[in-house]
Amino acid sequence: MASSILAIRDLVNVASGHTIIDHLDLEIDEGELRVLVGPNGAGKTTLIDVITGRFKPTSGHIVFRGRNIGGRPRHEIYAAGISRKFQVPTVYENLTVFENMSIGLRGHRTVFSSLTYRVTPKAAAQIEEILARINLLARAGDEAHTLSHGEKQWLEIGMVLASDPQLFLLDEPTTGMTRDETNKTAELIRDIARRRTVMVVEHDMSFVRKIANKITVMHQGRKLTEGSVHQVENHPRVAEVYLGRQKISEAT
Amino acid sequence: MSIGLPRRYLALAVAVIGVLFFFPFYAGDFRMNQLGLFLCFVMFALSLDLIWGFTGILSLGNAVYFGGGAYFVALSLKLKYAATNPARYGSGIPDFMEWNGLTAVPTWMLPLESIWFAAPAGVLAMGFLAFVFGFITFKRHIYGVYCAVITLAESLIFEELIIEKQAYTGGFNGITDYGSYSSNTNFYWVILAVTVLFFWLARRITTSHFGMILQSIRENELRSEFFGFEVANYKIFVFTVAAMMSAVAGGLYAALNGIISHQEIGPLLSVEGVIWVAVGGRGTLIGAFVGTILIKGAESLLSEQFAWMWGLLVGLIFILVIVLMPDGIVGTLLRRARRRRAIAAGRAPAYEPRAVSAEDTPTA
Amino acid sequence: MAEALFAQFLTGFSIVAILLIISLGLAVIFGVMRVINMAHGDFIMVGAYVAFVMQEYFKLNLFWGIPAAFFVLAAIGMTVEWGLIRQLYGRPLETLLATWGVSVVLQQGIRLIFGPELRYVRAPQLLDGDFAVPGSNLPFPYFRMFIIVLALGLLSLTYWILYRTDLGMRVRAVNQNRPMAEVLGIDTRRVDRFVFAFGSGLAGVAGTILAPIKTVSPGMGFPYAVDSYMVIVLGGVGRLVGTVAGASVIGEAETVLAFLYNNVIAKLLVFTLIVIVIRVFPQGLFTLQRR
Repeated sequence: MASSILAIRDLVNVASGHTIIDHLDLEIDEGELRVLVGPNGAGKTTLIDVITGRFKPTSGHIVFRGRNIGGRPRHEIYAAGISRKFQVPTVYENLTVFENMSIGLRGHRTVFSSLTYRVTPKAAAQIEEILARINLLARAGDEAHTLSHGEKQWLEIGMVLASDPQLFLLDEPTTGMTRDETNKTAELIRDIARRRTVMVVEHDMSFVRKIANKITVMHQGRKLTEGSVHQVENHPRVAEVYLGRQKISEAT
Repeated sequence: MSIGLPRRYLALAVAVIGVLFFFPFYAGDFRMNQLGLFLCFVMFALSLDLIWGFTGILSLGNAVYFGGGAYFVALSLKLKYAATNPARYGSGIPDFMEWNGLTAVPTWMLPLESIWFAAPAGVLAMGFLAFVFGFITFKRHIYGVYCAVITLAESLIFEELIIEKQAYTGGFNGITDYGSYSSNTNFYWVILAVTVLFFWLARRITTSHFGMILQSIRENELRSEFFGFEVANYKIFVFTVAAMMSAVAGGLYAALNGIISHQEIGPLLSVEGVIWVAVGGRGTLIGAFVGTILIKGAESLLSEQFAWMWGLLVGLIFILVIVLMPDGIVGTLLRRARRRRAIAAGRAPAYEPRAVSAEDTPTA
Repeated sequence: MAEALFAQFLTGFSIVAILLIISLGLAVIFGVMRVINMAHGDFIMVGAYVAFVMQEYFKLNLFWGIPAAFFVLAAIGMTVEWGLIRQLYGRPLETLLATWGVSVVLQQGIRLIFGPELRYVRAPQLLDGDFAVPGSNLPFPYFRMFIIVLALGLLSLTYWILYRTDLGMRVRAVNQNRPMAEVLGIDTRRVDRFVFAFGSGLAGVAGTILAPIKTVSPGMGFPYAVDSYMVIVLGGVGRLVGTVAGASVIGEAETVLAFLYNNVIAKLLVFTLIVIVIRVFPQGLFTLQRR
């Protein structure tokens, strides 16, 4: 049995009087590719926010590889090996693709180390390898604002990859993508998940079916149910909560 | 934006430095002194470009560090002058001290008599002050408009404090008459050398990996935090470096000018510096030079004739620049050059976001 | 000593009232538009000059000056909003800088028209003199009482507009969630224009009140602007109670401390206090949470 890499116990997050995460339990095994689904307002993005340190948990535990990371500062959580990709493609528009990637590269994060750091040939090779995987090698010298929306999404994925995370959190990575781009992204994520633990928050159910092994369904800040695509599809509450009376597989 | 300096720019830089170097020979003492003072302002503007143009920290109170450095030097020179000119200063202490009832230089001020102590002490003191301020402000993620307003208030308070403590600072009139280095060609060259040095240093910083991270902070601070950077540390560092740069510039200014007053510490100079950088082009380094020289130069030429409306003109120009040319003169020129190159290379020039900051919201 | 302290405390009320009048306009503008108007102090200054003009050229006293200043500054505010603020929508730092340009233009303009000399505006005769504070022998000027009454009046007026009118409801909607308000069909541009005009008008009123107390000069506005920024930084954004709290704390603290030490030390201490509070409440004491 694979060991758990991320264990969330009884997590609560309250903001401005609203309970956004309501006693959530969640466990992810090492090497898994987990998909988190749920209707709008279920608390999925907030969950990522709390895990990555954007918000402090009101109560509860978040244990990552044996370490309690709940409430720790963001750079510490990053250093522990968790990286996230935002829902809206968030890259640095005024910098080139290559420069964006070099910011993602792990290491030399303190002020003094970055003053003396020069991108080594080895690091450059690493960057180019990732760029090749996300099909942006030809654009390495272009400034990021010249990329299309889908390309920016991939660049951000690339930047997170460059940081070599143990746990890769993706928040709706196919937002605004074309059909083709979505398929490519599914492939990319499956590929990434071969060597890392990945959790994807998604809405697009056809995409979910392409990549998911295990799905966790969230509703109103707690876990509704968990299981394979088939199990979740046939769970009566899920259909009700998520899509009215439609079955998930009917959604395209 | 980490371009290595293309050859033609390097040639231009050398030409400009050459012109500045030989300036004393064809311009006469008065203009040389003026240019020397302007170069001090250029260094001040350069420090502002580092924190604002590259890192996105808008400080409307950085003259505190410029003036602080200036006061250290002026005080030191004044103490020395008073002690060694019994004909003018019978009791050997500065005039403003006498007027306020002091009979001797306060013991805590004695070390300042040596310029070799006072000057570095001033720079370090300003660095420390900036560090403390940065620590308080940036560790708490206070940025944008709040930061600007707090720095403004800070500047005003320091100005009032300086005026109030007139026994030690010369009060409203400031410190005057201490034997300056004006009309001293060698000193002018010292200022020029330091200016060039600071530009070189700034360029090293901004084209390094560190500089790239600064720009990422300017564009999207939150994102950089999620990439594991302790943004506060970066801000504190660059803010402290900028303060020390300003302090050096202020010290040179004091030594050259012969007069220092609260005006060199207050919000007026602070905001003026921002205007110079904005007009010249923020985030370009050279924009600090262009903006300062242009505005200060025009001011000295025009205000002699149009003193009455010069202020009004500056205000209007500033508004126009902010609205129509947010990238400033150099910034706009660079963008045009990039567009031309992109078109020439056969690529459609995409929409270019102007100098962005983490505060900006996307316009609909 | 205790009585002197109490006297200072009472004077503090009028300082709080002044701060409130100065800051109310800016607070409303900043709350809705997230714009810091660097020319706010100069709007106050122009208000003072309006009072001066009313007095010297129209021979009308301050009671006429107040509404006159309101409308003059509302007009100026509307012009600035239309010509400048609107162009820089979504760029708060640039807006801040551009309004600094407006500040310079206003100061220089006034200087050109009226000259740099100090001008004097009289309080209306009706308000001359002191009265005894009930329960003690302390004299309290009628004019300062008037300021306190006016501050409460303006506060009530603002509250009434915001919470009891249709327009106010729209303003509050934009304040809380601008995109949503737009989607619901609220003309946010008109709201902005109104808010900026109203806030500027209030600044003008502040100017007329200050004119008899401080001498009128082109550069008089700046310290007040900084004061109002501090009230907002401390008190918070988007809620009237925040502005009242900010003005109260700063006003009383400054007055009492100035009595115990001196003006400059008082300002320094209050500034330090604000910075400390900000560390705990980075958005001020009472801030409206935006979704």
